[in-house]
Amino acid sequence: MSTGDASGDPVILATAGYDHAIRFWQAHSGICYRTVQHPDSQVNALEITPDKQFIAAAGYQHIRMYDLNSNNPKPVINYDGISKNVTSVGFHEDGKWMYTGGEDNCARIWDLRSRNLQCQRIFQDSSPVNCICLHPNQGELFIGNQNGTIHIWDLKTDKNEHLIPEADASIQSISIDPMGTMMAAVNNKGRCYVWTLTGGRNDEPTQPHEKTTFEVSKRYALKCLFSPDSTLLATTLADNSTKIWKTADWTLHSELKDTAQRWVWDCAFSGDSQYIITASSDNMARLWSVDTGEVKKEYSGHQKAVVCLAFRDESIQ
Amino acid sequence: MAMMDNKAFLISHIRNSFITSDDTGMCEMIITLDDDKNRNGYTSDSGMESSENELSHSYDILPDMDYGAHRRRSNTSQRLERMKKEKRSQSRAKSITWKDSNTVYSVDEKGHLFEKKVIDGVEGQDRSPALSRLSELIQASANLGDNPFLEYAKFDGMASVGVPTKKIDIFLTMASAEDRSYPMSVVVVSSAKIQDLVGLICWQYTNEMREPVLQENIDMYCLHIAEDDGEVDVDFPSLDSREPVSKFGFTKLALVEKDVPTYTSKKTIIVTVNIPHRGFNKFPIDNTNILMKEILEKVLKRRKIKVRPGQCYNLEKDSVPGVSIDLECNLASMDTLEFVLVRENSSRGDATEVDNGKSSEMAESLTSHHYKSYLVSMVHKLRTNTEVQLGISGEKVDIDPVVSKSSARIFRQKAVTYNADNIASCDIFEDKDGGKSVFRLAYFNGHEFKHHDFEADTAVCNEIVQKFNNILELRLSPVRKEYVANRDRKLMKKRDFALI
Repeated sequence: MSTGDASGDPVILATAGYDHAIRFWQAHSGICYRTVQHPDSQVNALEITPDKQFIAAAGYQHIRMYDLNSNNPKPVINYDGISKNVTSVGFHEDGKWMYTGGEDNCARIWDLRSRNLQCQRIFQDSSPVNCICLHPNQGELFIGNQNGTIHIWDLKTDKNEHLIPEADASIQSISIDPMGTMMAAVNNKGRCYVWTLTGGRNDEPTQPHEKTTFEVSKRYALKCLFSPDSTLLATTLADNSTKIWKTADWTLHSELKDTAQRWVWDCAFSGDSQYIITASSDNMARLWSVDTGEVKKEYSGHQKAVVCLAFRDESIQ
Repeated sequence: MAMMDNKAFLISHIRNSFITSDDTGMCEMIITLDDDKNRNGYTSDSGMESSENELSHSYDILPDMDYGAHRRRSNTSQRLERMKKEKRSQSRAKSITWKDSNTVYSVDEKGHLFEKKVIDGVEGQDRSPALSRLSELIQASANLGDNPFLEYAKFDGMASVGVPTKKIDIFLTMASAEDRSYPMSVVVVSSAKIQDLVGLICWQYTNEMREPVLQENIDMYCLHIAEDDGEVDVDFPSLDSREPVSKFGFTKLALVEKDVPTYTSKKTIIVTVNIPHRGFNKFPIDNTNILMKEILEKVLKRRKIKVRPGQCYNLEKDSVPGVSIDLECNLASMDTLEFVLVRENSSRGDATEVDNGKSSEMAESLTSHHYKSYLVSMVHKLRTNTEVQLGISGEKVDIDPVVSKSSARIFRQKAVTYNADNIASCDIFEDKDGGKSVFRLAYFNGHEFKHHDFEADTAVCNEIVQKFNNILELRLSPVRKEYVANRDRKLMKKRDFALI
């Protein structure tokens, strides 16, 4: 076993939600080793910076960055000046910039290289932004909104295309597989849409081609996520379960259910796609074996619903 | 004569002015020190040998080292500094506010931030690794085994925010001699009970991979008050495991293994049950989770004691006479392996007294119809006990309330008298903690059997019960006969049910 790199633990798991606290867990043991407060607001989304120095928490009217490698219980950077809730946050793979989306109908790019925001960009949408997915080519943002539109924003050329898979069905989550060949989106009608993607090199925009569509739940779908090996797609659902689909033929691979579990809001795969961690309204996060559907670990400690998580794994070469 | 072109004079003048106008004394300290160093650097332009130099030393102002550096700071200045510090630590959190820019993004001006990366498909395909770090850790921890005390992790105050917590230093008496004097600090949420704290200590102990490995049952451990050097204060009993942590103010406690041999050591435990004046029995038990009633059954079986209707056997701790144990508890919670078998309504010594004192018993039974009154408290189902005077004679039983001002008028017990012929039975009903017992007096009210419960010291109860039984035996009223027959029938029925 090689020792972890200088930037701390090789595996990081953080969860947050409505109890104004972000908890950090030892993913393999279920021990909570740190809690930081997120005052004044629930946490809508969590993301770890690529250099594993900070964790970003998106809340009401601000994004706060906490230091991952110290015990400082307070945020170290506070991004504000936004109205309404920030619903999603993510990073360029080299940490050059951060993207956020929120209920103020905007997707934003924050320049992380310097304090004075040399290069901030904004994309004005027509309805609240529910989710943003960065294409693995690091040059295009896929923005899903409450109207049911997916905008494809080419950051370099500033051009944008859009598609509407289903009218009047809010897009809840978008995922693109690590290879950049497939895109999936789920909506509040419990349907999942899948496209194959072409292009997306140099100045050429990515072209989606509709591939398949299927029902994942009778109720809401909250999140979809491709596994790191692109063979699976996880959908977390309002019917208190997570369903995992095979990307080869779009049949059900396994269903993750627990009697205590309620709405499942967020999920993350382990680096080898063997495990999945989910966050649920029953104040718990759980680690499941993807193949057997067993709960392997429970992360218990939150006082209210857990709606988001951030997870970082490493692969062993 | 002082000249205005005399630098030394000017400097000295300015210095003295500063010093005399400064109340804090700071100028004085700094300037006087500084003055000594630089004194020789200046010469008078006027060329005069300066008698004026003496001005630089004012006779009124003498440097006083005690004054100045160690001046007491006022509360205000201390508070101001604290506020400044807080502000500084707060401002350490950078704040970045969104600014809308009107300029259009241009690659050349702003840098190549948004270039599309080419995703190398082949590399990606290869990348699917056999194992991730998380899987590796899960497998490794599966080999280690789970922390058996995980359920107590939620009482860890270190991982919680916004709830009151307590930091307690725990001395680990089971640790090796060199580690024993270094306590383990535990932060517990204040709402936890003592047994939760014990669990949390075990959890943290296991997490920290301390040796020796603890037993997986927290009932095996208790907390004692400890001195600052880790010495366990044996004069006090262990903290009651059901009490909340917040009740105690101790900052140092010791985790002590209860004095029960372990079953993990694969040695069977020997439980000794003494039977008064008939020796003792030893039973090998392989699990401390065995219920005490099972041990009682073992004893009765071994001794071939037939439990006759109305008789009831119980166990007492050898060290605590007169207090019967809860048979539903397990052996581990008993703290001892020595027990005594007792028959209900008798105590350990009774057997001797009965043997030796037949004559006295006879005398007692002869005098038992004499009137005697006792002060006992009457037990009510729904309200507090009331003090009553219980008068017993061979003919009748009087229950007279003892009037107290505080007793509510509505609930005041009426005085009643029962004819001795209507008394059906009197038995000890329950043994309470603290040497108290409850006995039940059953009587016939003309239509049906009713009863009253009374509480008194165990000795008093025993005396009353004995007195009643003597009276009942002497009179042998029809009511009594019917009651006994009824009771036996019920018992038979119960036994039949049990057989089915």
